[in-house]
Order: sequence, then structure tokens, then C-alpha cells
Amino acid sequence: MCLDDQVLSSYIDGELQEPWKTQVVEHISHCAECRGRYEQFARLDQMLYETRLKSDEFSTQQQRVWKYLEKTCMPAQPKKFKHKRFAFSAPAMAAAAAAMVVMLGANVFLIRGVIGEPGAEQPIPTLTAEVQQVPNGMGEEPVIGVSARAHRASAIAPQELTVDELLVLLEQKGFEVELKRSDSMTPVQSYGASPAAQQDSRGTARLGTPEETPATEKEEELPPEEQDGWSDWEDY
Amino acid sequence: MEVKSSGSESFQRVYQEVFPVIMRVAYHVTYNVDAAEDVCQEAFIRFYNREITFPSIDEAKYWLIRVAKNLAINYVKRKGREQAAFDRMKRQPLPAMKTGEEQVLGDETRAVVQQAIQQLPEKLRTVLILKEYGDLNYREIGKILHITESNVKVRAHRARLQLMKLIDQEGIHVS
Repeated sequence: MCLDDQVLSSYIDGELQEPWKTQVVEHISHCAECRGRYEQFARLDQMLYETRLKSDEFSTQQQRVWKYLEKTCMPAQPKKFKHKRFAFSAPAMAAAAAAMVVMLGANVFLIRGVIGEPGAEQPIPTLTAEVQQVPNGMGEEPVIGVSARAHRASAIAPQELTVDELLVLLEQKGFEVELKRSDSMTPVQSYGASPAAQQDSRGTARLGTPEETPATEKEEELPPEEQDGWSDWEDY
Repeated sequence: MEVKSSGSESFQRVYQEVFPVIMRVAYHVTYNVDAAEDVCQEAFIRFYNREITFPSIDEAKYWLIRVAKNLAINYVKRKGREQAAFDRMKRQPLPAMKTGEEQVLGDETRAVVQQAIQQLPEKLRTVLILKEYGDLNYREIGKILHITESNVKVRAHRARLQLMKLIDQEGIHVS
């Protein structure tokens, strides 16, 4: 008796169990017709294999996506920038010289409310920023040396940051930050959005657009009628 | 061993192991490298943000493949199949083959194979792609698609028969 195509297809897929596997091999060796059909399947398989995307054709993409994920998803890693110095233009310098990074008390409270659920005691995140004038040896425009430290167990790694980096970090974490002049306490610039809107339970910034619905194990991306189901598909 | 989707160590491990699989699956659904890259990125973002604990790395892999497959199919639907084919012909060159030894198929044949795959009904196409390009067995494909193993077997078989017919129609003989 000759082999049916279904058996040959399973054989090609390496899904045929013994003793059928051996029987197929034996049968093919002496039946020219079945061998012909087997070779057809094998040739198709070879064609499919040859159109396959090779590893070296997506290594760039693999690295790029990883870098993106590291930047946006993963908790901040300690970085190697230290005591970065930068110059301000005169008006900005005037403001920056007196600038303090102020986390709004209400926000700290809110955030703590989110992360500090019962049984999950966590230290309040604190940030200090030091601003000092440093002569830059060029006479006219003084350089402002800024160092800032973040103290918190995990969400913000202790590190030294420039004001810019600090602002970026805080924005990523979903904090609302205002730069204020120490003399008048007038807001200079504000960054970020309300933590209530952006903060999720891990204390990291939420990604993606609000209207987006996350995928679940049910195939909710597809309309229900197009889900893969077996009820409408008869087995042999 | 349990795998936490947002644990940075396990996330990196899952990424290394699963990225090539979902990249291939997404590419062979969309036949567009840029779209496949976007799909992979989105799938991993969702994976990370879901904070699910999977009983094993395989379960995490199935989840990612399922999400990536759906994202890729949705992409193709959104673009419209004809439009996608048009764009591909115009802007998306076929990936270059690397060595002369591998180059058994001419570019034309490769294009015919790709177009034939895209003409398959979705149910057959998905199984074929997961089998041929996702390197998954019937049991794994069944888990990903929530169908029985024997159903996977039937679909793989029918996909092959239809594919041979479609390729033959283009004047390229499989046999």
C-alpha cells in the first residue's frame, strides 16, 4: 500500500514516530511513485528554507531593538559619566546658578502612595542637587559645575548626574520637576507630566500610548472570528 | 525555571533566545524587515510591561511568538495585501543570498515562493511559517495557536499542497 501525502508531510516535518518512520523509509526506497512525491515535498521544503531570513540579515535589528529596550524599559543602570561640566549662556547661567531641582512635595507623597503599599516599605526617593560656580579659566563666562545625587534603593540608581541628565532621568521616571530660582522661587521650566498619569506600580515610566490595549494570551489583536480555532476545522 | 518578564536578567535571556524566532516569523508574515523590527520591538515592550511570571522560558517564548504573530498579521491587514506586495516590489529588495553554494534559487524563484506563501489562507500560512521559520514542532505550534496537535498536522499538510499548486501555477515546478 502506498503512502498518503499526510504521512509524507509529517515525515518531512520530523513528526512521524516509530515504527512508521522506518516503514516510510523502507517504502520510499522501493516505490518510485512515493519517492517522487516525497521528493516533491522535500524540494518544496528546500525552497522554503532558502527563502529563510538568515541570522546575519537581522543582527543589526537585534542590537538596535535591544538598545531601545534598554533605554526605555529597563531600570536605569549606573552610568560612567562623572562630574560633567557644561557652560550656560549668560541668561540661562543666571537662572541656573540659582537653580534648584525641586520635586514637588505632593508628587513625592503621591508616588510614595503608589509604591508604598502595605508590606512593601520603600524609602522615599530623595534628590539633592549642588550647584557651584567654577572658574573655567576663560575669564568672562563662568562654568557652572553641577552634581546631583539620587538616593533610592532601586528605581533611581545612585549616580552623579548633570542637571540635564537628572531632568531626563526624572522625566523618564514620570516625575514632575520644576526648576526654580532660589531667590524668587519662580518656575524656570517644568518637565515631565503628572506622576499619577505616568507612574505605574513599579515606579517607572509607562510606555506606549494610553489607548493601546496590551496583548493577552487570548489573541485579542485579531477579531474573534479570525482567531485560530479548531472547532471549525475538521481533523482527519 | 520560572521566568519573570520584567526581571532584567531573565528578560535578557529571553531576548537572546526568542528574538531570532519572532524576527523570522514577523518577517515571513510581512516580508518587510522594517515592519518585522517594529513588531519585535512592540512585542518585547508588551512582554516587559506585562510583568507576567511564566513557568518556563518556553512558555515565555510561546507568548511572545503569539503576540508577534498577531502584530505581524495585523500589520499586513492594515497595509492591505496588494499594497504590501506593491511596496515590496518597489522598495523592499529581497534579502541578498550570501554564498554561491546556497544560491540554488534565483531571485525570481524566491519572489514566487514568497508570493505563494502570502496567498495561502491565514490559518495555513501561520502554521507553515511557524513550522518552517519558527523552528517549532507540532506540539509547540498547537500551544501557540490554541489548536490541537493533529490540527497542526492537517494544516501543515494542506499548506504544502496549496503552496505546491501556487508555485506550479507560476511556472516553477517543485518536482
